[in-house]
Amino acid sequence: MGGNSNIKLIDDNGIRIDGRKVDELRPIKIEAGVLKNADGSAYVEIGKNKVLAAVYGPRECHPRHMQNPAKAIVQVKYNMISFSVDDRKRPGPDRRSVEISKIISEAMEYVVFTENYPRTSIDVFIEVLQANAGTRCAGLTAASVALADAGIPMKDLVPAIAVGKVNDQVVLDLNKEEDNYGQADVPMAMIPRTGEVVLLQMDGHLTYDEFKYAISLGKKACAEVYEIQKDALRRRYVVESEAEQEQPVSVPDQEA
Amino acid sequence: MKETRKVVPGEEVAEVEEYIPAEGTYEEDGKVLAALYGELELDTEEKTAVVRAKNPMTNLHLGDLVFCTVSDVRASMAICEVISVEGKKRELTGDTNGTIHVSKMSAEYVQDATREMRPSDIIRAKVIQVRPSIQLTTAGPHLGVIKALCRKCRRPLVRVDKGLYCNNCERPDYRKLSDDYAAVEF
Repeated sequence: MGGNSNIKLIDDNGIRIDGRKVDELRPIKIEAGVLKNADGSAYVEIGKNKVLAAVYGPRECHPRHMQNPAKAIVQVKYNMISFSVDDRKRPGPDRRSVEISKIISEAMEYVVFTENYPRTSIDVFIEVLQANAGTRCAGLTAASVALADAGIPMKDLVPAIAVGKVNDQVVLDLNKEEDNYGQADVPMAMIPRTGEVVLLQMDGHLTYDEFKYAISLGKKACAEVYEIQKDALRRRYVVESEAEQEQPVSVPDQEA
Repeated sequence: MKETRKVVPGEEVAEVEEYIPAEGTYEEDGKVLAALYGELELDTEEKTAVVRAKNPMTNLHLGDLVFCTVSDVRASMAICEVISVEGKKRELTGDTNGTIHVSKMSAEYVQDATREMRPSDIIRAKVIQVRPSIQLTTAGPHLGVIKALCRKCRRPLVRVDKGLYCNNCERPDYRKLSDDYAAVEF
């Protein structure tokens, strides 16, 4: 959030620097079950963002004192790889990634039926391979597909998207330039079926009316992302059934 | 009659008036919704809505064969950590602490459990109780120690007749062995 600047990010026709309209999403691609060794996994691309999420568990919680005798805990580790940004990012956890891990874990704990698995931990690892604003939303979107892929019972999938304010206009799904030189950034996650908001942050300033409009934009976008998430999971079935068909039907008799 | 189709979490599968939410489904606002990603089964006889996960978790069931490491042995029991269920790739969900009572160690009479297995041994055992605690048995020819180390030099022990032998220390040892001792591939 660089504050007010003179850079023109939206032209007179309402077209943004990457050619999108103000209420248009970046192209989204989601793939479920991309990793063999994780219990569940997902890969998400939102524009230039590339995020990988892996899920393990529910498994016995270590260290023991973090166990909850009544329910499972969701431990999230959000990490940006050193080559994910223009300048090399110093590897390891920092204040920002600890915060993002916490809010994503709280969002996931709300949807997962944690009370079914007392004393266990569900571990979610989110790796940002390439960042271009909105990685926490991409991370949460990926994590929820990965959890579903891991066969963990949950209320619903969680789509997440950012809204913001650029050149005094409310826009959807900020890219890096808009995030850096815009006036506000509001990442949000909402379950479209119920309208429950499980993640909402705001960096910068919005008026009440702008905020209300931003939320309505985000709600519509979440519904779109949600459909892509569902499609990713369904596609996984199709891929596997095709793979089964390709296998030879009869095995040659080796003894003969 | 069973009707099946693929569902994702949060998908509406039935009304509560029609079907009872069972495994993999839950109820909200009079509707039955899927909680898992998998295949939906609407049982018209039992009137239940079940979702079978595509990628199910590994839970222990009675009679499962499991691999464990022995963590502690007392005179009356051995405490072990369940590593995996035989034939399942996915890690175990939930509690992994199992105990083997001295009476369940072998088909024969066992005076002292410390003679039959020792800490750090890897064993194959059968689950005989899941709740409230995991109880295991090693009575049977296919059950028992599958890998053991010499207590002096920590080199693998080799099987000689009914017992074990350390070639390095030239010392015999004894365990309750499985019939495929040292021949199990993970």
